[in-house]
Order: sequence, then structure tokens, then C-alpha cells
Amino acid sequence: MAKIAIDKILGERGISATINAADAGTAKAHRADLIVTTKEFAKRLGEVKTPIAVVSNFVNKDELREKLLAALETIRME
Amino acid sequence: VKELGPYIVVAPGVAMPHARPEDGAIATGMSLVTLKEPVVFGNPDNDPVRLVIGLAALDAQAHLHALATLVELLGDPEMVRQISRQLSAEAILGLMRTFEATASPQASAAVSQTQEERGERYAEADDCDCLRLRPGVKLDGQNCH
Repeated sequence: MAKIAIDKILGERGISATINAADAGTAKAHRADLIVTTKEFAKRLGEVKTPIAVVSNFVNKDELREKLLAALETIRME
Repeated sequence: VKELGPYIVVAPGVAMPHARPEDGAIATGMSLVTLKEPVVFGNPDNDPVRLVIGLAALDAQAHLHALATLVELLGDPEMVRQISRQLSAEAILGLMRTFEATASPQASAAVSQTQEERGERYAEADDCDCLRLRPGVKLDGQNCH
């Protein structure tokens, strides 16, 4: 679900990225630049090196856009 | 949900329980239930839930278009509010058709697909084989015996 909205948001901004929908186990094992998830799964993921953007509304493009772009900006600064 | 908490509450007032084949999905389909009494799932951001949409998918690609439109629909709080208040399938289909009419052409194809899936589900619920066997038919009830 979120992947669909994220695809659109990144498309709007002309940012190219590979986006995968994954369960908690897969996400933990996978190397990624950023994980976008909900509170419950962020807890479940525990300590991971990958930055995590936590969203409460998975279909709200405004919230996703805000948190996604903020997280990407943070990554870019590092 | 017992293990992970209320993760299926994906938006304010909306829960989406879902399953893949490894979790027991035997066919791709979806269902929609509106709750007369809102239910608290324990998700402080999005409680209480009035709309429950079940999804079963056989693979990641199945019905991606329908899902994309559903995301658009659920991303519209006014649509969610209106759908949540309805007590009949016909009223909800009517709202979806209105949404379809105002949505983009790509989205409207997906809404039609969604309606077909929903129609099939309702046909099953009504125990009417004529719709289930012919998923392409217009699902306005008039085709039903």
C-alpha cells in the first residue's frame, strides 16, 4: 500500500529509487537506504542500522511525502 | 495483530487485514465491511475503526491497479467518512462510482476492477451463482436470478 504512494511521491520529485514491500524479517535482513513503516513494525525491527521513517497513516500522501523527504534529506546530509 | 499490535489499522478509521498464500490466501479477493459500532484496535493514531477492508493476494502483482485506486480512495478522508457511514453495498458502490467518475482514466479502470471483485464477493454472500460464474457482468443486481 505505502509502496504505491511512495512510488508516486518519488515520481513527482523525479527521484529514482528501488522500492520493495517487505515483511519485518525480510526488511531486517535486506540492505536498504531507508525503511518506511508503522510504529508497530518499527518496534518489531528493533535495532537496525538502516534509518527508519515512521508513519501513522499509510495512505496519506501528505504525511508520507513529509516524512519521506525529511528522511531522505537527513540521509543526504550524512 | 495479537503478536504485532494493531498494525492493520493503516489510516484513521480504517483496518486492512490481509494475507498472502503462505498465510492461507487461496485466491485473490477483497471484502469491505462497515461497522455500526466503531471498534478500538489499540492504535492511538487511527482509532476507532469504522471500515474494515480484507485483502487476499496470491502474488505481489495481482490487482495492483485496483489497490492503487483503493489507496487514492482511502487517501481522501471525506470518502472514508462517507463510505464508513453506509449500511448497504449498493450505497458504497454508488460512492465508488462517483469517485471513479471524478478520478483519472487510469484510476477509473482500476475502480471498475475493484467493483467487479466486490460484486463477486457480494454475489457469493448472497449465494447467487450466476454472478460468481460470470465475473465480467455488470454488477447492479439486475443480472441476478
